[in-house]
Amino acid sequence: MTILIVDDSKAMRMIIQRTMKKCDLGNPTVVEACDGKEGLAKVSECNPDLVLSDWNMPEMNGLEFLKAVRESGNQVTFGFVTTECTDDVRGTAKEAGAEFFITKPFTPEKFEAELKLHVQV
Amino acid sequence: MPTDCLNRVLVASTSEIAIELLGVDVEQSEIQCVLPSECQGSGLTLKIDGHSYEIGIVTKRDSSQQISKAMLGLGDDDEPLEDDELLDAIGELVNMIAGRVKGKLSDEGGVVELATPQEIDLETWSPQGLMFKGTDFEFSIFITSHCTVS
Repeated sequence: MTILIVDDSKAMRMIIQRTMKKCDLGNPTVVEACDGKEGLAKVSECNPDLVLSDWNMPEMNGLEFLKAVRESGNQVTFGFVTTECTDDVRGTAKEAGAEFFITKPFTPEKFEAELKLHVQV
Repeated sequence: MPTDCLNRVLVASTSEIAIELLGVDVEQSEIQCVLPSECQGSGLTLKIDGHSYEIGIVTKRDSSQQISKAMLGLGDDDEPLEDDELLDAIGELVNMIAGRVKGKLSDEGGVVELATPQEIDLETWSPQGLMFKGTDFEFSIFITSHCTVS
């Protein structure tokens, strides 16, 4: 399984990677990108099974990134890992094709439970 | 929005994130007029019902190391983080606090937008608003909530 992590914070990408190591997710290949623009290139390049993206990012934000992925015809499983947690934001994301939301900060238990609902480990 | 209302939500949000992310209790203490030396900070703009507020965290560098290492699950024996890594981690912390503030204010009917974190220019910054002190952990956090009308 290949997982693409898209977040402008290197610290956050590290936290997600460390959390994944604590979860029972097999041994996924992890690819990183620092914004939606780079994320879009990595989606084409690496064909991930799962995308975990931040919402607020420079260059191309998470919603624009998701829309661009879907417009390209790619139906990869897409989840947001973000501080944005309002119903409005969740609704907008679901409408654009996001499968799930993980709110920061998160515990390994919450993270694992959410991922296992949406990807086959 | 009245400052005391924003401060109330900031206090609650900061306390919750400190416990959830760092596993520490924080208590609000008196604001210091003069910043300790060797500080750095990261902040972002929170737009609430058309008014812009700057929310930032400023800490001493050694405190930034402790906070960042706790966030990243690193120990005292791990290599110290570089300045840009510290600012990045502190930026993520302020982002989480601001996100929690947004959630609480949105529940009360406020329209809130978040920007991405940026380094605070300490030459032009002075502490205002709130200060927090860790109880089980040696650090101080200054939260500023300057308000400008956009």
